[in-house]
Amino acid sequence: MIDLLLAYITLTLFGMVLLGIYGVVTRSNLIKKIIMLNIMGDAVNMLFILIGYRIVFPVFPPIYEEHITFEEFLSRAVDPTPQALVLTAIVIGMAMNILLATYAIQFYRLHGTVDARDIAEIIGGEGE
Amino acid sequence: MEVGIVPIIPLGFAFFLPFIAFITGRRRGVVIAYSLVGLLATFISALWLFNEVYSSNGPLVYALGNWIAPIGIVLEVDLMGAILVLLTAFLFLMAGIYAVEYLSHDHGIEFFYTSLLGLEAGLIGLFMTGDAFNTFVMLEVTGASAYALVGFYRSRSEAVEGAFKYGISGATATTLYFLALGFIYASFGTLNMADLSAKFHGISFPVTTKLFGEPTLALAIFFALTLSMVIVKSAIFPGHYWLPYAHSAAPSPVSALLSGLVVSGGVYLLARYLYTVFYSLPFWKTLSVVLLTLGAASALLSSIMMVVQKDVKRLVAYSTILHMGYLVMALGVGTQLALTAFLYHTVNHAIAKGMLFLTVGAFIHHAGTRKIDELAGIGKKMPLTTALFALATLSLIGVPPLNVFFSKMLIFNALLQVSPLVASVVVITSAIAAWAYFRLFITLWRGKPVEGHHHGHDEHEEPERHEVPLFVAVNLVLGILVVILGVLAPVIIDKFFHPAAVQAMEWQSYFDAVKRLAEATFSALG
Repeated sequence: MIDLLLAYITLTLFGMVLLGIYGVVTRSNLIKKIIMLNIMGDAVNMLFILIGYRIVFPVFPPIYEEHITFEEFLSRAVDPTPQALVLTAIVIGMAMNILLATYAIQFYRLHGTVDARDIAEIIGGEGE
Repeated sequence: MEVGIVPIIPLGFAFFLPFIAFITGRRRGVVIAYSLVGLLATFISALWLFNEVYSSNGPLVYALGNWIAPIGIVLEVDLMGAILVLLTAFLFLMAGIYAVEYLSHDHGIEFFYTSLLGLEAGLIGLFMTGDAFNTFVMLEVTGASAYALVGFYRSRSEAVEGAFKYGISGATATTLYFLALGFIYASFGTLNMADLSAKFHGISFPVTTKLFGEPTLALAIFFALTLSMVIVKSAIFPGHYWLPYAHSAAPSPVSALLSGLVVSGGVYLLARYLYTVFYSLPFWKTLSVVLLTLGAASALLSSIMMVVQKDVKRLVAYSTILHMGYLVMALGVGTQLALTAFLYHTVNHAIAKGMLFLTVGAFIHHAGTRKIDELAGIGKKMPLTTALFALATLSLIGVPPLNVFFSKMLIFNALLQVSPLVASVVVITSAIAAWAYFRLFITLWRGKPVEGHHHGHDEHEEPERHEVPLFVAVNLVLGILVVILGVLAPVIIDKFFHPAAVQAMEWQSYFDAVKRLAEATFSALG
């Protein structure tokens, strides 16, 4: 039962990653692009958390205490490394969001729209 | 000095620059002097690091915060890393000096230099790090600074468009790379490159001991996702769409750095994984075919695109895609000769492409336009810059005594080992690129100036000198390097690049350097 649930969650998260890539590529609205990027980033973060998670009861915090045997600690404590990595990734993702949102605002100031199709028309399909 | 200080110098200078600018009331002189001191200090420390690595007989290891390998993050610098760090520090110094004059009429120069120093810190960190997760962080540091620099002219729609395109593509790509790291961590239980290499070759490492699941499958997914990141970040054929927009919209000194160095970051990472960390992969044959195909496709397409460009910076930007194609093709061969060729070409391309963008930047700075038709005839007004521009284009085409000829020849030789058909791609694309450069040069030199708003005061400005001494000086330094790296190529390859490729492929010495330190630390702890 738990394996099935885990497989379901994992597949859903992979689906979200693919959906995020699809959205970033196909949406022409810049804000929607940023939202899809976030959906994708959050799915990846969730997958990372899942890697380190232990589906047992009770779960120990990842702080070693004397009265637990080492083997039991290893099988019951959550791996803290993926959480540390996700924390870093969240901070980086926030920085990216701010930067991209700034450009989206700047787009709006210059063109009065945040739709990439309108902007392509204004610039006039130069080059490719 | 410690090894770890090299990426910290530009990072520290970048961090304090906005405060200093604010306190001194945004005085231009203060900002410029402070930034140039930062760039110079980084260059000196990179020189020191280069000397240090070449005089030691193994990679140098620095444990950040004294937390040794599988527990903490380490920096590990071998000859390949040291060469690229020195190249980065040198080109950033040149571009920083160039930008003083280039941006002399623009506002917000303190933020420009903050991002420039941040970009330098990210790149140097990427070339020095010995931790797979740290490469992700450094890619994002590089990326964030690069997106900010591309959008420097934020009132121009093309700059904002280019920056957004670059930003959203880059952020998606690095997120995929983060996912790749998840697979590798789930299977190998570690993210340290030395530890990964030891595990991959079946050698035990302190602390992290066993493997989980199917390592080969995890590696296959890891390489698929990493390759998709590199395709976007290094502008290889299906992921190259953003590069002409971003690189042409950025200020010229930034274009020089983005084209020369930042795109090389992705392929460097691929080289590190393929040749050092996971050397002799079980699915190497397939990966090799993929790399050769993508590289050849990207070289052929971009060389054709070069011929039809009307914007001078877009033309040069497509040439960057062409050279990235060569680099990926070289990586697909898998021999030591290929790695030497890859490394030498990275250095030569960075210097020659930097020089090309900086000479073109001098024309653009003078004429105020990037359209080739409107730049026609400008060459006669700026003969020195035109001569240096010609030198840079000749070098990039691959004319014998200049540097890129030798690295192209090495790549050609390496590709001949695969098949003559693949090797012929280098010759064909070089010929097409030569045609594009030749046409550009003819237009700039012999072309008739179009009737425009510049024409009016051109008449009485004619006897004046149009050259900007600073631009000429910077380009002259790069031009001398282009010639030296070409004429002395056999000596330089034997003395620096061949040992670097040999050391990069000695995976045992790569992880032994960290393993010895880790074992010493853990046995001292008991």
